[in-house]
Amino acid sequence: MGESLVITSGKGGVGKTTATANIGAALAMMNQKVVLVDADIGLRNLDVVMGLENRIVYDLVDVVEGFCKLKQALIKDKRVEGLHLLPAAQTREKTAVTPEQMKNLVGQLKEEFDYVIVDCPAGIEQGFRNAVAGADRAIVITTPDVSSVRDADRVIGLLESSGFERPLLIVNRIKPKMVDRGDMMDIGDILDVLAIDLVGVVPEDEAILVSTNRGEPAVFNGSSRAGQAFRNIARRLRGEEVPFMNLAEVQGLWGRLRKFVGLE
Amino acid sequence: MSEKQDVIFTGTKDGLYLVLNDRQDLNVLKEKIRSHLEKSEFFFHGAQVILDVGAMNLDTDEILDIQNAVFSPYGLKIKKVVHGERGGALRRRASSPLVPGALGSASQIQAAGSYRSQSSSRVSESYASGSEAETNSQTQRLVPKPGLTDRLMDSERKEALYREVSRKLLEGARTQTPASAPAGRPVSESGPRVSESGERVEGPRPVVETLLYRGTVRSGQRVYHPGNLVILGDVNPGGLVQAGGDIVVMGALRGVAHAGAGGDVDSAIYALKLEPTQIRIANVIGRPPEGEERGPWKGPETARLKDGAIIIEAMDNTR
Ligand SMILES: Nc1ncnc2c1ncn2[C@@H]1O[C@H](COP(=O)(O)OP(=O)(O)OP(=O)(O)O)[C@@H](O)[C@H]1O
Ligand SMILES: [Mg+2]
Repeated sequence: MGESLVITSGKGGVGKTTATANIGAALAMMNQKVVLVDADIGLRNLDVVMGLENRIVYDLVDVVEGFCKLKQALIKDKRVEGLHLLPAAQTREKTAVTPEQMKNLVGQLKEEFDYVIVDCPAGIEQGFRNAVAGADRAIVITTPDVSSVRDADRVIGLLESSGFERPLLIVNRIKPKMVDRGDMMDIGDILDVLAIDLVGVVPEDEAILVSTNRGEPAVFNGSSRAGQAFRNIARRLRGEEVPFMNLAEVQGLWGRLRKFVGLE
Repeated sequence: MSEKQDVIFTGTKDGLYLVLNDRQDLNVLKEKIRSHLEKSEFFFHGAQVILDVGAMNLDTDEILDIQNAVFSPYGLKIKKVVHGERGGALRRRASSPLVPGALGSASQIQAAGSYRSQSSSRVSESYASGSEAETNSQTQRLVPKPGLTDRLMDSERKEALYREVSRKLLEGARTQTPASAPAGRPVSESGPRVSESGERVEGPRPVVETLLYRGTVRSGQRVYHPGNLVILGDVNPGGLVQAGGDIVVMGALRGVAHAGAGGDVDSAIYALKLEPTQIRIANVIGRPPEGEERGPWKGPETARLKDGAIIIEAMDNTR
């Protein structure tokens, strides 16, 4: 019996799909049987990021509606043994699937695979509820900016109230220059607000853009720093202790606001 | 629906009238009033309400309960209770006596909590809202987190703070006991003049209870309590905590806190780390000045009203 993970964020465009593809590929490279589930129905793009778009015949909605068998809809990634994709339907809406059906589907996949990784759509509506329905663990991803962190906080609140014990956090698109300067305040601040466990920090990396366009996850690229970060995340998810970059200096400057001005 | 409306707010030259359908169950009515107020929070703020209960015979506890559990969080005060003055059209209530004991003063918190959560555990009786609470308030887990308290303070300091907090809370509780409290706290002060409804009533003054909420109040979540409210965790940006009395945040207050929501100008807000988006005490709203440097953390602080303005002070641990 495998484990199901959902990768979610609240805010759009912060790297959910990128993380799903890379963590999934990295786990497969560690000889795990992995299936990536694209729950972003109507806006699918995990298949594009994986470079598997042209092999789609059936999709998730076809499976749920009984048009095909689950096995028929799974696409095998030929670059690495054990990696599979269950694509989303492009022409349907998020309401084509219910949380109950997702739960069922993920349950079935868990019997077959070591890891079921669900790529969640942006937002907190039905698409979100579908994506988290069958997940055992949740990974929340944010970029180091206020609005993304705010949305992550919102999502963590929702996850906690629907029974997720302790969501994990990925901070994506950290600027390497900032890290080099030892200027990692942002991570300290983010952790301070979100108060959940950090599972990885992924640097801003051009290689991600290139790999997205080529349909080749960055973890296949040995020289990509982001690829390395995603490989580390995969190892941590498997329970390995992988040291972080020096977070000891992260100590925030505790802010305070002295005076208040009245509002009309 | 063709049925008569259960809850009607009307503005008149005498003030704000609230006419209740006297054939409806009191708990249903309370809920409807709440959802009404919910939608118009600041519109009504500070208003005095003439409560028209039609043919209903509410006892003191029930009226106090409406004041404390329903009105106070929204800053409303019952001015008087009338029987069908305006709602003359309301038909007499057959006879479906309200269960007194169920709403006795001992269960004020529960009454407040019964809005959405029926849970019997004391902590979960707070009302946490936000879209998730619509569906999940029952399952909302209130788990203590290793909060800032542990990270920021050595144990000595923490000790002093807890002492200060409990002193303050005890003080608050004392003024609620019927015998003492000549002035009382505004929550009791604002208690309805039930006698104006024709009945002479002598009941216990309302007891403001303190609610402990364990966990972080995250963006989109809201916690309110008619009495004092203690948050064992942080209040994040986008989160809202509201209380009829004082608010203590045993962590960082970064969102919005509203103390004295029923109009109590003596209410205060305490936080280990005070850097709110906005602070409200009674009817006064304050926000941090724009563009001010955030200095290093200097310790717990208090926000209170002084001469009608919100001032921030370091919390004095030496007392
Ligand atoms: N670490 C990174 N460095 C550079 N670019 C990145 C990084 N992570 C993501 N990106 C880029 O950001 C964009 C958005 O990423 P992605 O599609 O993974 O986000 P998403 O959260 O899935 O978006 P949506 O909410 O629309 O589904 C892509 O163009 C991707 O290449
Ligand atoms: Mg995506």
